[in-house]
Amino acid sequence: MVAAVLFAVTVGLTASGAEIIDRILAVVDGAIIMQSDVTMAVRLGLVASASAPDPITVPLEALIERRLILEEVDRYAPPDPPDAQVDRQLDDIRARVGARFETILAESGISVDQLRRHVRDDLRIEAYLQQRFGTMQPSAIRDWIAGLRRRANVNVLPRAQ
Amino acid sequence: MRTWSRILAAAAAVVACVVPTIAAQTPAAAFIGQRVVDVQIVAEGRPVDDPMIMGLVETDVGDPLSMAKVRESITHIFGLGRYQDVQVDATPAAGGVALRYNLVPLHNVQRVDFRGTPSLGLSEDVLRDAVSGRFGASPPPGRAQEIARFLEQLYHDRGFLTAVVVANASERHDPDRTLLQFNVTPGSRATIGSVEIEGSPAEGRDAFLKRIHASPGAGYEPLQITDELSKYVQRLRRKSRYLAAGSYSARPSADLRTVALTVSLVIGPTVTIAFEGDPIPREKQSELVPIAREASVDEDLIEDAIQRIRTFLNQQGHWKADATASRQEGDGALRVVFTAHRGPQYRVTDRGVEMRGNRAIPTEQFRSALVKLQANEIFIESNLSAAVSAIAGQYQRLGYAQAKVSAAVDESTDGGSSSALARVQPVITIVEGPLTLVGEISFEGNTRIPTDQLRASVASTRDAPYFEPRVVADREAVLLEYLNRGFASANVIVTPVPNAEGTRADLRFHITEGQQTFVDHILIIGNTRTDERVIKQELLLQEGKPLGLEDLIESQRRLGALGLFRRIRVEELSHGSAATDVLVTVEEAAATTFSYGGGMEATKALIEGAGGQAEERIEFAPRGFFDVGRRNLGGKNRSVDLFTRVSLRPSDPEPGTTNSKAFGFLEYRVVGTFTQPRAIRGNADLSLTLAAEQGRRSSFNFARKGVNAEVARRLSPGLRAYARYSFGTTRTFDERLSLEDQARIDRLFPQVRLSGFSGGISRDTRDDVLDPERGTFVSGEGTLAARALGGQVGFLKSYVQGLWFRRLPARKRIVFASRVALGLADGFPREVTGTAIEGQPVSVTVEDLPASERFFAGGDTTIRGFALDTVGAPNTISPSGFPRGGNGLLLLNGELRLPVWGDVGAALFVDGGNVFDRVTEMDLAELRGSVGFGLRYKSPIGPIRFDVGFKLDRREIGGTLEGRRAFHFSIGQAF
Repeated sequence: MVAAVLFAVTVGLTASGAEIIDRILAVVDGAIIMQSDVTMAVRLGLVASASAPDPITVPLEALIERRLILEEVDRYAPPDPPDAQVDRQLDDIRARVGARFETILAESGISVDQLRRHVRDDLRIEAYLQQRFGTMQPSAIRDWIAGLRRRANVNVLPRAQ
Repeated sequence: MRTWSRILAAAAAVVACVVPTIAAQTPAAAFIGQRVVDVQIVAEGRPVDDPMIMGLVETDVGDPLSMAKVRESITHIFGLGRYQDVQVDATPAAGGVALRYNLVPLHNVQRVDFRGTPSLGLSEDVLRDAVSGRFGASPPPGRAQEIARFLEQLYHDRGFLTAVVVANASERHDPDRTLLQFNVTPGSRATIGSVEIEGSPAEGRDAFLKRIHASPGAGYEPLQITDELSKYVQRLRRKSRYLAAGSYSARPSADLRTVALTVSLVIGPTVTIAFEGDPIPREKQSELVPIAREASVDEDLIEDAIQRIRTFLNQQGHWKADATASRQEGDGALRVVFTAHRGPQYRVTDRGVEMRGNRAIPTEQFRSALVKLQANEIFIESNLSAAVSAIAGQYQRLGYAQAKVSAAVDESTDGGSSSALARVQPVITIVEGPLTLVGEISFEGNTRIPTDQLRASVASTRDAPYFEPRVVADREAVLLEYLNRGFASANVIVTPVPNAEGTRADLRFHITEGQQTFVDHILIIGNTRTDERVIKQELLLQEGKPLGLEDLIESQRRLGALGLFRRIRVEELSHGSAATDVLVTVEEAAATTFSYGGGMEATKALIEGAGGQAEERIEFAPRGFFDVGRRNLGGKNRSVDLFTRVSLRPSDPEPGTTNSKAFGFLEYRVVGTFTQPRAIRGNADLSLTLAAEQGRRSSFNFARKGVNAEVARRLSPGLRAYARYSFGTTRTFDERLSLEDQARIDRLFPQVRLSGFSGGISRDTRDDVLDPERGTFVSGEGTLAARALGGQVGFLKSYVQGLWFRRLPARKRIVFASRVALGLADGFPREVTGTAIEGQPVSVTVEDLPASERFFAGGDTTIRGFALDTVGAPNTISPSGFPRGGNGLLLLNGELRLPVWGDVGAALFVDGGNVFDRVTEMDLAELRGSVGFGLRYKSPIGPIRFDVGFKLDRREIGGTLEGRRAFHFSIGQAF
């Protein structure tokens, strides 16, 4: 599945043999989501992936939704999760990908600090959703996210270039 | 489990199974670490050579390829706001890897078109307004489909239930733009089929349906029906049917061509309000019970009304007042009855408030807190609560952090609750607790800011009284230190740690510094004419330096102060690392400004009357002005401005008569100015001014031409200093003074050339320059004019003034304004050979100032009981009553500015002062005074003012008693 993602992002090979090593895939209220964000998130298991023929859309959509939710979270600024909890999440990720951890980060251009911030934001999102929706049905959250998307300025760039 | 959690969990599980079995690599993997041998930047196939964009690319030739730098470069370039995508290609090349940045320009929507098949069905203006209102005038092309769905909904809301909207976005190049077209097939508007009404409208079914645009067979317009039904209900409510309600539902047919409506109408009873029990003043009833105003009899509203009645009665001293409400329904009417039981009125006993337990603070120091609880005052419980809070605050400020202040009320036996008047004895009991002083102040977790610097930022000190609000402010101050050093996520918690006795509280500041953010690149966009250096000069943020909060705010303020931009935004573009780009977006204001205006001036002026005596007359002078300016010359924030003002005044009467032409004298002023802010290495503002003017004073007319150069510097907010050189000539003519009465210097120099330097400083803390409520303005200016500088006469002149404004502690906006001004001047003596009155040549010494430089007083901005310039010591007024002016000036003004109604206000004033021939002759016993009143109208251009002043002492001048009053009409406050 990860291979499918990587295959998909290399479809943009040019006739001269040049490979697109990074680019912008979507812009959410002015914040960009890059190809390297998607590959990093999939390879580290931070978002769901999908199979060919379109392995990009699902993780990209997940990152777009994540960005929209994060905007809401930042508006209410809940407290940061404890460092120990962030460390545990990072350890889980390391354990999941093993020795490839550093390679994945280097190939994505992401530092450990940036990954740490990503994990911290994921935990903030979790805490926010738990506090706001509690035991409500997932459909309520889906409706809420759909509302966020309607109000937001989301531009998904065409990928067949 | 939440959706997001599910996504995360599922993803983790999937990848946990897959990742270990796949040795996948990204496209970049093969190139990472290879030496970059070439970097190209292209946009739509064309090379980009903009130095700013090239400077944003971090992957330098010769360096090993790093994906982190690729990401940073993409982020920088995207931050410019010019490109929608940045794609980075890598190609194997001899000795390494070649990179190409392919920039995809942003094709902003330049035009939005609507095409209808066969027609739009709705006005194009309606569609355009709706789209621009929801998506902006230039919506993003990526939202075209969303806009199409929005438009379909808009058509549905207007009855076009089968409308289809298709979006078509076409890109154009040179310049890059997008044309957005919406092809609309509106179909036909649905018609209203059957209509069922639930309820009984008074005017009958057909008339009602017609009124709400819902008659069978009519076009179906949902928004209009909703709107008209709402108006119908509002009309019912205005007729006291506060329970009226209306709604409707629609059921479209299968082919969406017709809709069946069900309209529900509740008319409700007629509501009346009655007051029973103890009387409530009629003028207060609608305020306390706003049922008619709110057009509602909602339960919450009635509860609020009951509470308002109780509070109102409590405020009258009816401590135990109560109120109830009941509803009486019948015969299509609802009667809401409010019953008030006010009980006796309570007053404080002769002993006043009894204080118990206060040892550290004597009762006298609580006087201001207890002012509304004095002996025999009406007892209002909320006043007692306020006193308790104020006393508790006093204790806390002194360090009694644990002080408990409580109140009780003993009903006096002087009068029973059944009588109309009762007495209460308020008792305030204080448990002071220990005096708590601040102990050790310590900081934990600070690694980037030394403890000494943090300690300096807090106001609490060891052994000072512990005061919680001060400690909270200390926390804010420490946090601000961090925010100003780029620690945007810093957190500061302050924990007071008291000792067992409560006499000491250590303050422990726990700091979580977080990551320090530095400025990576400063991106400036939107400046088409303004030189980037002009903008950077105003930015306190610097690349490589911490991103400080106050620097960011101050940068934005300074850019605004340039006056070059209509909009300014300074924001950070975080790219997830310790360095962040700062995006400065400006929208330039129009380079050329043009303004004009006109008006009428009315003032009391002196003219030469019968026998050459001065007479006051009211003059009306139409005036007009225009101003044309060009700013930001050459993109360097330089500007030029030409201001012209013209007034037409009555001419002087012909000799021996009082006949004068209505507009026989032209008064004008033409000023050309060049300004260069932040000149002289950015240290001062420079301005050069050329001016020509002709005007009238009471005793003479004058024409002046001159040039001056000024260098000004703002030393701090509100404090400004300047130096100026002036050169010019002034010619006086049409002197109303006889030759014998004129100062010798004026006879010798009807046209005088002056050259001199001035310097001044001013401090301005007023909250509003045009109409201040509080603050001060203090200024001082000194001028040295000398023959050595090229002038014909020399003198020293100074003018200092202080203005003080204070809003009085009253509910209405009453402002007290005052001014003290002092002018001192002395001429340098010089020998002049001239012609005596008899005609023979004489050599004389003159040491006066020319008339144009002497001080005058009297008029709408100085002493308002007098006409313009007519105040002066006896030796400064000629026997015919015309003022000569003097070398000394003293002005004292006091004014009370009161609101009257809306934008109309009133003023009461006292003005005093005088003009003295010589500084040595200045005498406080010789001051002239006036009192008066005026009206003010607050207009967008400042207060429009009408004042009437009355002299306190009228004197005889030239055998004629001065007029009693003077009035003035002008714009702006007197001072």
